[in-house]
Amino acid sequence: MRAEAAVMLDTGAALPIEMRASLDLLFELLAGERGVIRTSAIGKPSLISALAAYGTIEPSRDHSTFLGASVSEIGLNIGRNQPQQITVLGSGRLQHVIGPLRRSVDLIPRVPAGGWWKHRGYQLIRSIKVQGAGSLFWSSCDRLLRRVDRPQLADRCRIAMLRTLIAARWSTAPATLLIQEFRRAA
Amino acid sequence: MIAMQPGSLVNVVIGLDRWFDAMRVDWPTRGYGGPVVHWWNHSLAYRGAGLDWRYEGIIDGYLARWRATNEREWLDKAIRAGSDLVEGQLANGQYRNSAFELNPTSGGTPHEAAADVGLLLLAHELRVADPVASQRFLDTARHNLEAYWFDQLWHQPSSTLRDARGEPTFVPNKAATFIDAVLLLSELTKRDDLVEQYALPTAAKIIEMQVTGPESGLSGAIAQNRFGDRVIDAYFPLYIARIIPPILRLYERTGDLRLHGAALAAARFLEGIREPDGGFPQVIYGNGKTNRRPRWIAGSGDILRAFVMANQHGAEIDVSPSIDWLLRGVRPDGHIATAEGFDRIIPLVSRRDRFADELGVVGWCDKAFRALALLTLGEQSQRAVAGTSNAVAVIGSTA
Repeated sequence: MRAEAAVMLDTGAALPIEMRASLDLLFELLAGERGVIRTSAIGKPSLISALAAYGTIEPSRDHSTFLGASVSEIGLNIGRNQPQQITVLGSGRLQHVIGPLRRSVDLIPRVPAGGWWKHRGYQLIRSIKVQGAGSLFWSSCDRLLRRVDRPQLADRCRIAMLRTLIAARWSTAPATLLIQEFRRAA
Repeated sequence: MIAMQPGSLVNVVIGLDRWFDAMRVDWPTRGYGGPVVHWWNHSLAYRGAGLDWRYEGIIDGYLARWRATNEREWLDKAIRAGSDLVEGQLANGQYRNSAFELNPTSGGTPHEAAADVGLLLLAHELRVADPVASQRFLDTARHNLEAYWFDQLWHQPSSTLRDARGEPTFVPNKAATFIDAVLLLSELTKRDDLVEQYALPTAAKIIEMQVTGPESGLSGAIAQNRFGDRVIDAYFPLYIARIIPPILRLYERTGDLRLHGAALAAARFLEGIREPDGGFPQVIYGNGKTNRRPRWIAGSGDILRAFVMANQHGAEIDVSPSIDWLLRGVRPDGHIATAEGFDRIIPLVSRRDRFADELGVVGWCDKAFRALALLTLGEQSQRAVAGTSNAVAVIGSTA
């Protein structure tokens, strides 16, 4: 963590902020009453346990959630269980551009492209992007202003970065992380 | 010294109590839940129980009501809150979902030490009336302090409380909450060595970060944090206020006049930057610039409490503007609004945060509850002494 950027961060945060925002979104999408998430969660154990902290995950045959899972892992699971609905968290196009600049961030696999899903009988019903160009712009302003000793402006830019983590929903806009929902085609 | 109508503060405190009851949840554990908004981040998706600093104010506030009225209901609510923490403690000593705006995750700072303060105040209250329950609350707090704060966050070679394992970070307001917990643990376990080993070195490091010299407009202010030797030149009134009561309690314990002077200098700094309506800017920077938005309302209860404690040590600060500021945030459902100005932090971008001003957040309202319950304690004590139950009560007095 860069010291000049850290005045506003709680250093106890275990996950990168864009991943935390993604899990917030997933919880909003998936949770029912009393925080119960009815889905079979597959993927990185650290992300599964982070999502489980929001409430209780109850396995479901009808719904699978892939959190940073590899393409082969996703393919194997849907071939075996054929869930009616699928939610996927994976990296977007920007992750591989900025990933090498961020040593502390553990990269997760990309979400398979549309044709991959169509071939397996699934159609896209929703796509949400996290940490797009807007949020990265504000993050750059934060760092720049801190370097030139303008903390009062840098702090505002950092807040803007956090408030714009959920990116514009233009289909072509790049983002660091991507959440997609699919439904089994009739 | 101020005068106000008796009953008005009690009504606000009772309204908050009813609102707290409505905010109780039973997932993932029993406790006080609801959304959180904060200057730099929100926790809006996770709305389950948060075992964080909200318990410090809730427990202390209920204990104040118990002392003021001798009505068992208040003590029972304090015990219920303490039981939330006992049941929500993890095997490693940390509390589930203790990170407030970063929930759901454990190991929140200063949140877990603040929760310990609540538990230890409760253990102290019950030590004669219910020694078994007292021991249970003491054991829970001690487990957290020993396993997390002493074993993981305390950096023995430099005698420094770090904000995270392996990082040379020091945050004075969090360290002050730790001092509070250490003082209470030391008293309950009769271990004076804890004060020597943890509280005094921590207080010395806090005071090192206080601005001195009358030529500075920031005289008395305490910097927000440091990374290694690099002090972050930002001064948050709320967090400076949270330092004052623990430092004064350490002064009461040790008689060290440097602590008394530092705490009162901090209080006078806060008095000097208080705005005419009783509110405070969010942060003042070392370069003289200020960010005013948002101005805390419910959370400013901690500033009011700091003033009251400073007055008990001779500061003579008029607390009425701070009470008025708090009371203007009271809403019909009993909660106190979080802040004013979330929508004006950044032009255009912040418009979506307009909702945050009005939101009721347990971990902010507990600060108002704690301060106002403390004042009603004084109010009712004054009435008892004067025998004037319908007369004007005098609170926050130093004379």
